[in-house]
Order: sequence, then C-alpha cells, then structure tokens
Amino acid sequence: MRLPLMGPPVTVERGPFWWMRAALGALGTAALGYAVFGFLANVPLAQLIGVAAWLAAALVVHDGVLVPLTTLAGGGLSRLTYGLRPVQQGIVRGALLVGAVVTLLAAPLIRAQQVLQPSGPGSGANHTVLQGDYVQALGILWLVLVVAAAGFVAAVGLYTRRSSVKKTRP
Amino acid sequence: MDRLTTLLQQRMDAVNGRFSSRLRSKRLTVVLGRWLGMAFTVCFLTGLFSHLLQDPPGWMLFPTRPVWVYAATQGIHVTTGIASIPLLAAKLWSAFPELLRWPPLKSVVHALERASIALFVSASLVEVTIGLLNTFQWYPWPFSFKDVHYWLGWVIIGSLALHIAVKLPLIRAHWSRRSEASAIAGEAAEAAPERETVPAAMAPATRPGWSRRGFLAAMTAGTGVVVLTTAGQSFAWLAGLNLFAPRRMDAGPQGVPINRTAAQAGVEGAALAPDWVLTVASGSVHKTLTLSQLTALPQHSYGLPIACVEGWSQGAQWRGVRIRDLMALVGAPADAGLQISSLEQGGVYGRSFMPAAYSQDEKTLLALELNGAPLDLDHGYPARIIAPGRPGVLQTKWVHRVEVI
Repeated sequence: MRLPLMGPPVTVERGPFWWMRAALGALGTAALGYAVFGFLANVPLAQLIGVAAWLAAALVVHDGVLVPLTTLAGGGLSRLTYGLRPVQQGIVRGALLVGAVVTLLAAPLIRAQQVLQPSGPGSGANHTVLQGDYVQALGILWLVLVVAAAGFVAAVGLYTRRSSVKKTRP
Repeated sequence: MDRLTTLLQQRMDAVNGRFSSRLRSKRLTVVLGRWLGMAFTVCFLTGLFSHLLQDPPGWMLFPTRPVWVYAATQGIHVTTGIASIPLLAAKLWSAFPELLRWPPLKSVVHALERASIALFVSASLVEVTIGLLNTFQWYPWPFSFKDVHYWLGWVIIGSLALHIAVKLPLIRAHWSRRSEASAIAGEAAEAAPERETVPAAMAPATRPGWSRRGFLAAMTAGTGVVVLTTAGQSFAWLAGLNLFAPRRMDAGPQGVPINRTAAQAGVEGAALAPDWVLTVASGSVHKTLTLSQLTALPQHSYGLPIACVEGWSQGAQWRGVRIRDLMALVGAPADAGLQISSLEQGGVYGRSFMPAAYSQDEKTLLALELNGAPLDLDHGYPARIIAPGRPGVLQTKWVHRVEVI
C-alpha cells in the first residue's frame, strides 16, 4: 500500500500566525538535527544501542502497561464507589491520584536505597545520600490521605443528607 | 482488503472506546501541556547553563554573583524536573486515544508527525527517569548519563517546538474556556447548522466519576506534594518538609553532604600522608607549600554554598587561602586560567579547569577549614577548592597541584 505524500491540501493564509508556526517548526527541526548530530558525534555506538533500547522500552512500558492499568483502576473505582455522590467520588479519586503520584517517585527511591546502601564498616558507601526512612514516610502519607478522604466523604454524606431532609408536621 | 480495513477500524474504535473517558478533552490536554511545556523549558535552560559551566565554549560568561546563582539554577532544574514527572504522566494520559487512531498513517507527512511524537514521548519519559535516578546516584543503564541526558534535552526541546508548531491551531482554539466554547460551537455549527447544540465545554458534569476541574485540582495537589516534599534538598526554607529527597540539608560530617567519599575516590592514604605538599606552578616557577605554610598565609573566611549537579546544595562557612594570593606567589598573570589537580587519579573529578573569572574572585579559596574546623577527609582534607557559583564537580577536593596554563 503506497502512502500519499501529503494529506488533503489545505489552503492557509500566510499571516503572522502561519509565520509563527513556520518559525517554531524550523527551530524545532534545527534543534532535533543538532541533537542527532550530538548523539552521533559524542556517544559510542554500543551506548547508542542502549539509548535506543531504553527509548523503545519506555514507550512499551508506558503505553502498553501503565496507561491501561490506570484505565482498569478507573473502571474498578467506578464499581467500588457506585452509589456515592460525584463529589465523594471525586474526593476518593483525588486522594488516590495524589498517593499514586508520590508513590511513583518514592518507589525508585526505596529501590535505590536497597541497591546502593551496603552496610558495615569499610563499605565505602556515601552515607549522606538515601538516608531517609522513605518507606515510613510513604506509609504515613497514605495514612493521612486515607483518613482525610474518609473524613471528607463522610462529611459530604452527612451534610447532603441533612440538607435533603424535609420537615413534615406530625 | 476493504473488508479487512473496515474490520480493523471497528476493532480499533472498540479499543478506543475502552479508553474513552469523559475527562479526556483537548482543553485538558492544552491546560496540562502549558504547564509541562513551561516545566520542560525551564528545565532545559537551567540544564544548559549547568552544562555550559562544565564544558564552557570560548564565549562563555561565568557569573560569580550572587554566590548562590548555581545553587538556585540547579535546584530549580531538579525541582522542575521532578514536577514534570506527574505533569508528563497526566499530559500523556489525556492524549492517549490519539495513539489508537485509525488508520495509523494517512500520508508521509502524517507518518513523520507520528514518528516525531513517538520520539518526543519516549525521550521525555527516559529523560525524567534517568534524571531522577541520577539524583540517587543510581545508574542502571548502559550509557553515559551526562552525554545522554544532555543530548536528550536537545531532542526534547526540538520536539517541543515542533509539536507546538503542528498543534498551534488546536492550542489556540482551546487556550481558554471561552475560546474553547466558541471553537466547539463553531465545529458543531459546521457539522449541524440546523440544530442548536450545547458545546460540551459548557455542559454541566452530571455523570459519575469526576470533573476536569477535580482532576486538575488533584494533579496540582499531587505535583505540589512531590515538589514540597523534595525541594528541601535544594532550598533551605523547605528543608523541614523534605520527606522524599535523596539528600538532607545539614547531613554528613561538619553538617555538609558528600558527593564522593575519600574511600570511593581511593585517596585516603595519599590525603593523610604526613609529607603532603601543595605545588603551585607557573611556567618554570614552582613552589611547594606544606599545610603549616599554607596556614601561615593570610586566611579569609566566606559563607558560600556548595551546590551539586544532582540538585542538592548546602550553605557553609569556608576558610582558607585566596587562590589569587597563591597565583601571586609564583608571579602568575592575573588573567591566567588554572588547572587544579586532585590526589584522585583520573575520572571527571581528578582535574578541573578554573577560568580567570573565578581565580581572580576574592571569594575563591583553597579551603583548609569548613564550619570552624579543619576539613573532614570526605570534604577534601587537606585542601580543596571552593568558588562562588560553580557546580560542585568543579570544586576539586584533595588538591595537590595548582598550575597556571
């Protein structure tokens, strides 16, 4: 199957907006060209293969694993929080999202600590890096998120129930 | 062939349907893209500054005031890099259905555009990942961090400019809620001129799940939390909130963190040797100074930050001999550059070049004391360089030779 060179022709007026796009495009292409030249001139071939492998793996892991997982998690949440009001669902999702973002950063930190900090005298390890108790910090953060989210969800539930009760005469 | 195409299209539409979310919209992508574009641009510029300080071209200007200039730019570099991780994840999530569009390639130009997007996305993901792991001093990849991080930075900034150029009409149409509403109304009017439609942007959120504003608020909160709980390694006023940074202020011997220990550098024996001398050389003039002779020279004391390329910094009080006084001892010309040699052999830390902008600065010292006590072995005993506004990797430790070039 042969691809056409261009899409359907679009007539564009060459105003300032067109020139801005053209300038940005030209600058971007020049910077990309400089980057390709820089890689070829400064990075040995064996390392270039490593870079290409990491670039490909990043796409596969992100597009093939991480995003589908968020979709699954979102669907699961919809089922779990069925019956809650939109505001309450938003609170639950917001708390989980904040926790997920922090975990995304803390997980490699915890892993690095396991890999890089051999203990014992004479190990020569640098004890001014990776010295925090990150597992505990992450645990406390999740606890705060869960308690806060539960509190807000309950408060919203109580408030909306109270405001929806109608007074009736006996 | 046609039936196969139709079947494929239906399948892809079904997959796309699985990934559809009320939250995803061009407006959301534009809002997130604005933040991410700013973060990437700041990251690129501060990173470029750091790179130029380490590998200076002939025209480079070396700012020495304010003395915390490098601590600030590199702290900002690492902090905006960390902030861009959740922003990047959200931005890519918001535009994910674009990946599943069918047919995948409509023309050669379209194919090039998609290839450039793939490169942009993968380069961004790798760049923030290796940047973060570098701050842990963890290198689980088969390439040089410094080179690859630098050149990927150029890939990203080039791709960003190209991406904005391609998407500018969409960005303009969805820049604000008002412009989006009119853009959607315009599209709707073109599609169905006889029916009155309420633009989706104006429709109230009635379905379960959450609104765009809720999602953006949560993203802002998440980004804020990771910034506030890590930036304390670079900025003293946030040190109290530092939960998730690899570095702590005031940690280490004499209250200053270490980039590389004496054991890692393999200099313990040579640095503690009683016959250590400093050699200062200019042409054929050589002068050797013992530690007690150095201590007998005029001493100067300054508060200067030490700031690492990994983003952490630490203010400290340094005391020692001015470099320009040492140069005067051997009659070196004032505009001369210096080569500083460490007892550490080879590597990036073994030698550093000091342009005249630093060597002539009154605050550039061959430091012998730190925070009121002789330098700890891990901080470069018996003598180290400390200059205002320079990357930590150039503040050579365990100095044994200063040579005019």
